[in-house]
Amino acid sequence: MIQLLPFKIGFETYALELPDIQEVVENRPIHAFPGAPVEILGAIGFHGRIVPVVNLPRLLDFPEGNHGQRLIVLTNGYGPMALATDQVRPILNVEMTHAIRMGQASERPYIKDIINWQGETISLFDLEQLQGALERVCDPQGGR
Amino acid sequence: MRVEISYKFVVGFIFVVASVVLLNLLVPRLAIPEWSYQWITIVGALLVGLIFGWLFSKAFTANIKILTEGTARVSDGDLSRKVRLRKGLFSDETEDLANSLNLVVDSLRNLVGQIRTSSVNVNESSLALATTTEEMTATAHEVAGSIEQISQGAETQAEMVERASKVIREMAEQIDLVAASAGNLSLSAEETTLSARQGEGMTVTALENLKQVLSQIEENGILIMSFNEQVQKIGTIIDVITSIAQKTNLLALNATIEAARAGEYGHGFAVVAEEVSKLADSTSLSAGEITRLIEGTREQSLKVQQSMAESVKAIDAGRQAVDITGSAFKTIIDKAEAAQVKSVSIRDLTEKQSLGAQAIVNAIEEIARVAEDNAAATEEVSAATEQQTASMEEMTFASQRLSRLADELLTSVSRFNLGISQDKGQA
Repeated sequence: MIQLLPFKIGFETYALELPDIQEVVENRPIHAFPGAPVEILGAIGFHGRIVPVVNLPRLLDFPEGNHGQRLIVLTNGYGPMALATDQVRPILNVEMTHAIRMGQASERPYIKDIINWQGETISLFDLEQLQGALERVCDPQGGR
Repeated sequence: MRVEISYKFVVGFIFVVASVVLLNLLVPRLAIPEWSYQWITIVGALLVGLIFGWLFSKAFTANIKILTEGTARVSDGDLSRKVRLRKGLFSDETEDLANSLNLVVDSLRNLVGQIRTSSVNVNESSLALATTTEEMTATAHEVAGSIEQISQGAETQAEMVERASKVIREMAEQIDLVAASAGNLSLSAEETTLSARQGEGMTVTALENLKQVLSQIEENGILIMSFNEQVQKIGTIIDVITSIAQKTNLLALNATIEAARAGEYGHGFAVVAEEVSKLADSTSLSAGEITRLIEGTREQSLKVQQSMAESVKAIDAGRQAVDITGSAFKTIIDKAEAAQVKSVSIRDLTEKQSLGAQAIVNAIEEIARVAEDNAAATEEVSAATEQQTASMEEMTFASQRLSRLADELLTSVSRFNLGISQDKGQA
């Protein structure tokens, strides 16, 4: 049994495990970084800290639109970082027997598992892959 | 010198006696024997008597012969010559007789001339008369034909007059009907005027009512605007409530996240947070419901506003229509009054027409009587014309007879010879 926070981008439903989430915030003013890649929307002030906001729809190749109204601030293990989503849904308690584990060679590299929950397909985000991808985006030279 | 025949005989006797006496005196003086004296005297007396008797008788017989020839000529019809006796020294009664005969011849000649002239004239006149009477007969026949036609015409006229009379009577009845209709029309026009006046009053009332309705609609519009503002305020409040609910929900979510991180210790907190989240969801749902209701109310009120605007337009149109109706009623009143006046004049005129038609009926009846009289008179004229024609034919026959008589008379008098110059003159 795990606790998931589902969220929507476009018509797709994704989810994060609850222990990875610090807080959900909304309608925070996002301050853009000069010269930042398009995958980074900017930064918000969060409890006295500066937290960058990832343009998740852009990273997942969704078309441009009115995305990122709700921000999911991740715990310090992956942060400080906030993910812009369209909508956050109530927390689900899900048995992992419903989950289908995706391999590394999947066409969707940021998806760890796919859960079929009450007729709905929920993609469970792989935050490590996401972090790696963000590092590649933010530092194309790979630290050289 | 005139000597009557008796005196002439006396004178002859005296001459004979005187010759005897003279011979008795002369003979003795002759150288002849005495015995012969007696004989010579007797012979001498005889000779003298014979000579004188021959001379006298010759003179008498010559004149009587001339007279006889003259009378024979007259009896033969020759009136061309007069009886002319030989001129003697001593005229006698034969000359008187010749003169008388000449007078008779003259008279006869004049008479025959006159008869001939008259008979020629009579012949010509009778021929002319016959021609004229024939022409008159023909004319009389034509007149009879014309009279016949006139008679037929008179009958046709009488028939036509009868028909005309019937038509005029019918027309008079129709005119009476028209007069009655004109009277009814006048009444109807009066009623129309009254109705139109009532209608005009009603249009004024309707206009006032429409104005009241308009003002009420305007008030309702203001009320609905106010209601809309209230609804708008409610919507704003609902937005605030929704926002609070969302924030509450977010807080509950974050509380749940926090409780999950707290593990077993956060379990009760998580339950509370879930309840709060449910309440927020319920609030959100209710707010959404209220929002939908407000939307519906707003749409309804918009529809009401549109409907009211349309109503205002319709009422404006209705007011214009009522205005038009009012002016139409005024026009109707004017027209109806004019129609009333006209119908009254029509009624008067038709009454006059009715009187005129009655006069025409009387006149037509008079004409019918005259036509009947004409027909009767025409029949009389026809009879008279037939009589006249018969008389004319008789006159023609009579004139022809007269012409024949004149011819016969001319033939009778043509055996009288009146002399060339006179014949030529009379011809």
